[in-house]
Amino acid sequence: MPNESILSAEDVRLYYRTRRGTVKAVDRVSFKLKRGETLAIVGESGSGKSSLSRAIIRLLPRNVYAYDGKIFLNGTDIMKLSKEEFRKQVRWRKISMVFQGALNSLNPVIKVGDQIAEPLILHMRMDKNEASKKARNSLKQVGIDETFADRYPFELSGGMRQRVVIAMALITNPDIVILDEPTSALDVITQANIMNMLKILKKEKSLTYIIITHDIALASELADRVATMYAGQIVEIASAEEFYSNPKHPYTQKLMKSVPTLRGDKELESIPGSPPNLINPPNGCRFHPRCEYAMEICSRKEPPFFGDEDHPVKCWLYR
Amino acid sequence: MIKMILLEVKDLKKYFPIKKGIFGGKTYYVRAVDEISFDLDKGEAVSLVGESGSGKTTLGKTILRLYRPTGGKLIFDGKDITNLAPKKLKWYRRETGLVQQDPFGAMPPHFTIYRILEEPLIVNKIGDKEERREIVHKILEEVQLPPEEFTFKYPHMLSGGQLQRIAIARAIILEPKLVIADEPVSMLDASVRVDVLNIFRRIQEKYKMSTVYITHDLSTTRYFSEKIFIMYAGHVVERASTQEILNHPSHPYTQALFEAIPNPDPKNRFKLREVPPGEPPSLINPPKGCRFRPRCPIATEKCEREPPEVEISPNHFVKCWYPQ
Repeated sequence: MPNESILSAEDVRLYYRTRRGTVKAVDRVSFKLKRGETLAIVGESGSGKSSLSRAIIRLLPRNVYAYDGKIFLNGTDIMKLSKEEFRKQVRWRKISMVFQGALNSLNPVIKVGDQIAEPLILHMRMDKNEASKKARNSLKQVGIDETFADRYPFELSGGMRQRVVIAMALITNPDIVILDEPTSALDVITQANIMNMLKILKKEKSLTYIIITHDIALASELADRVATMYAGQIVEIASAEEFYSNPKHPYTQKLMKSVPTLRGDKELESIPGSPPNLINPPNGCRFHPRCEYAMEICSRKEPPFFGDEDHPVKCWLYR
Repeated sequence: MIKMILLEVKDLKKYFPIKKGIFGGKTYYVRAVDEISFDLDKGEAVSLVGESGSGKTTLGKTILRLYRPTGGKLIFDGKDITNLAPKKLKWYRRETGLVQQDPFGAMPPHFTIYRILEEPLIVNKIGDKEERREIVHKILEEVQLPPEEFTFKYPHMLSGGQLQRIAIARAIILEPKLVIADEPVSMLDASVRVDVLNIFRRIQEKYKMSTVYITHDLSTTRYFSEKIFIMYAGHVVERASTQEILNHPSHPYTQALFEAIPNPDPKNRFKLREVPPGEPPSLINPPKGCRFRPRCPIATEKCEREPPEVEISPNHFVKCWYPQ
């Protein structure tokens, strides 16, 4: 069943309660993901993309106001699982995650090898020796000599620590790996090396990735499909080929034009205004105050998805 | 046309001492800037590109004399400022400006925007109250923030992009001859970045300020500068006009940078990038000779000796034994 979705989200909501009001960080988001496919979620800071990943792996802060919708993993709705069941059956075993800036949150006083082995001991109930053997193996997989298992994080460079964090996410053999800005703190050459490694791992282990990034160019390094997120909602999803050659949503188009490129004589454009606050998002289409094509209906009514199934766009222009 | 040199940097060095061991022990040095030389013309915009830890920020701060150089010479407008004492540097502070990466950290939170911009005028005893008001309003208009709307706001009420424009306004309000902008847009969203860079560039051209734009992002440089300097591990390894570097990158490190930077292209996912392995060396004990040697695909024994800086075509300098 190569074409069946491994993960499918329907109307997922994640709202936070704050003193100023309810923050609608993820607002009725739906998407499907096929096995072995990589979905990139792009958007500016504050668009809710990190919240969406936390909603999928169910690692939530305390001030959750609403968390609902359906998330099917291999056909079962994992939103129906209890906390305990989710922890035992899904998190790390089926879905794991590389957090943004995680390379800086390695425990400074625990040897790298022991930190990688920890998920196995905690989640797979493996014995220590076996887990540590596996940890050494997974270090090799991410391109680090296994002798580094006995070193402490401060003895490793930034790129190596990022590899360690990726090894931790892979060691439980998950089906899906969420990568939240996996190279944001790294230099471009190190970034390219990590991306190369992620491409190789994906092929070898037939992994399914969800990569979250603000960098549209970087997304193209992995993505088979790309989704644009704006103000808590997905506003467009398309295959990478379609997305980069024929972006439809005015926001995606603008985003594409704001990317500086090394060569060519493209004029850079900026997007007027700033992203809305998620406590009181604009009525109708959330992008309408910044949109050059805004029509009367845009400020009044929230657009549904238009266009074909392979390239849905949440915009009235495509009615 | 004869170009006028504003700043001469000659064999500039900045080492930071670190002590190992509790009782003094041996002193080591982080050689963040190691024998760098170049000239900066009046009104010229230069990009200084390098990875984190390459010494680009230290070079910027040493040029501004926020650090005292360990060696070499700094000549500004014909005057030697290398070793001037802080008290004798006041005039230099007026002639220079700095824009930093994080605009939130660079603003006093309890000052209004008006006060933040007026402060340098008061300190330098410029104009009376009314004249200062005019200058502040004019500079706000230059950075495209309507004065009536912004003067009485506090920093926390502004977005990152707006605040960075205030930082630029503050840096140029005394119309300095030299401005150093250290990663001025790297904390901003892509959509805002363009705006801030464009505004900065326009002001730079209008006031003919010499500008050093420090960045890790090679792809934004051509929108800003006439020249690019590439830094690696405390050395400037290649420098030339922006067009020349983009069309004929010659140092193996510069070439690696070009290979590493993705353009948005869905075909990227089907190929691996040919980039050198490893990471930049520690600046405490850098490799002998060429510092890129351990990662360089074409290195030979010769590279264990420090390469000279050669001019491979007019005004295109490469510090490499085998420029490509």
